[in-house]
Amino acid sequence: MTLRLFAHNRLALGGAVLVVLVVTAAAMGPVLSTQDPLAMDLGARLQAPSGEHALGTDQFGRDLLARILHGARISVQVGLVAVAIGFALGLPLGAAAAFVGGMFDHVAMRIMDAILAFPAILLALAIVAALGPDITNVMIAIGVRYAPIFARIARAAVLAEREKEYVIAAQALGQPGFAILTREILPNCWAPLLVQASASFAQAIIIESSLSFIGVGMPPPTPSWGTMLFEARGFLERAPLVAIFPGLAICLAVLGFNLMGDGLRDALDPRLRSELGRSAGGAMALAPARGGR
Amino acid sequence: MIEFLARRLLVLIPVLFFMSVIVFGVLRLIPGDPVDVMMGADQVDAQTRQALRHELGLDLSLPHQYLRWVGRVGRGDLGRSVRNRESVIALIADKLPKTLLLTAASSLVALVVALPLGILAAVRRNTGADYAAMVFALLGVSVPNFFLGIVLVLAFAVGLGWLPSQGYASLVMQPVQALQYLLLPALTLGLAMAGVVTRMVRSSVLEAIGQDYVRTARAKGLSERGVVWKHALKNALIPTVTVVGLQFGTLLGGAVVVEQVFSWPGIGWLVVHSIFARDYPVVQGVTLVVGVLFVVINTAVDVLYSALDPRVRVA
Repeated sequence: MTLRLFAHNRLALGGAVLVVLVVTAAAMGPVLSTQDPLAMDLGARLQAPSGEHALGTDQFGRDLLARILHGARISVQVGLVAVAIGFALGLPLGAAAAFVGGMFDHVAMRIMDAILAFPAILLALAIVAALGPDITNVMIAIGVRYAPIFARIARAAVLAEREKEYVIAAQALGQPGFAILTREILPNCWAPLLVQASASFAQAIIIESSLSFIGVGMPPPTPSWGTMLFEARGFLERAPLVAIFPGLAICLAVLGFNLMGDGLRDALDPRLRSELGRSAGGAMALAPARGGR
Repeated sequence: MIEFLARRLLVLIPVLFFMSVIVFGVLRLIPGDPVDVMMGADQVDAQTRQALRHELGLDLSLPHQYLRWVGRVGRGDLGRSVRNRESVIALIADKLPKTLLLTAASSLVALVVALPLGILAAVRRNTGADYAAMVFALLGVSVPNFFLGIVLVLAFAVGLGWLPSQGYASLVMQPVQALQYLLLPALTLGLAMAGVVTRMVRSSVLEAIGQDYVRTARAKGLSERGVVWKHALKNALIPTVTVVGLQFGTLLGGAVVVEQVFSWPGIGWLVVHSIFARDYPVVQGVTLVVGVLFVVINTAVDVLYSALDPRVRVA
């Protein structure tokens, strides 16, 4: 049912196609472009797209396509690891808070509220400023900011599940609490977490590229999309395409993960299933507002 | 209502405490000696380094350091800039109004764009207009604001030459120039927010249109325009205004980046320049002030919402 609904949602499918393209670019970058993303050719600076350089060259004569493909690798890596860190920290904490309850729940969730109180980019900026600008620290900074989001969702999902009959039955059978949580409850909580993971992936791409654009993310000459935009700012009048191409790459990647997340949410939401089942494809029209970055 | 207010304020206390621990802790993440990192290992003499170490409380135990720092913060003392010795609170007081002006103008842009678009999308549900509005909303959350800023600069500053690409002027001293400088950054931040608000307006109006009182209004012969404007919109506005209020944190985060694009001298500009200068007391101060501001505004919006819609208090 879920897959069928997702497959009938054209926007979600479009998102999935974009995601596949970005992941393919990340995985197959060196195969798709034989040019070295770091190789400078000062005689070929700021060239327009041509047969030799499909998307033209930047201010150091480096091939833009090769750099954008390499940038996809950084974006996908940051998104994947940041979401994994947020998930690994948030899921056990949120699930335990809901299951244990009491003072532990109260303290854990107030700590999560405190982390959420800082705008994501500002907290990431402060952490990267302290730890130093490199890809590992960027991923840690974004992952830490994600932990409360996953913790809240996991907590809400576990709270909803723990009152259900199958949990009461497991308790009556004498299963220990930890086993009930991990074997019975958590396998039923994955849907909202999966939806959030897709949206968080998109946001991670934006945060990483924002940090790199500001100059505290990926240090040059690493071809992160944000760093490329930062470097292109000085040549906007002469060569706007040097900024436009990496910018479009960010937009398409983020759009892909957002559309896929929306589609997953609609396909997994039981309240929407019946309506969507009647008019598949109108999923987006039913989409509620979602908090941004 | 008073009980609800007291409950909300009580929750604030532990949140503010943990926020202070986070802000305090971030400075302690600096690998090695923070004074070496800030001043450069061989740049200044041992006496100056020791004085700074003492000023930052680094010669004390961690709990002692925290208590001393939080005590000072409680008295409104966020320390001094390591670079120019200015008080951090004075630096923030100078920059914050500029950021607030930018975020207020952006909220206005978001509302002006999102209200008609959201209403149109709801009233003409599942038509071309609806899909166009929702595509716009989706682009709003998918286009990073710094890229949108660059595109707007390319179009309106480089291409058409209508507006300056960057800068700032005082609204009091040079109002015309100030508005010219304000327009592009406010559009950049506002259009991104408009995406989220358009979705909210659309779903709120749709929900309101389905209510019994709207059906009654239709049944007594009121025109469709009257139904939407007099009945549905009034109720749809409450959650919309709440969303705009709750987007404040997002706007502040966005401002950090957008201020770099347009050289807007707000707190985003201050924090980034302080990072490059390794001026950690300023970074710490801005992070704390923005976080506290965000929590206080969220609580105020929450309380205001509950005053407008009593059902929230029960929930």
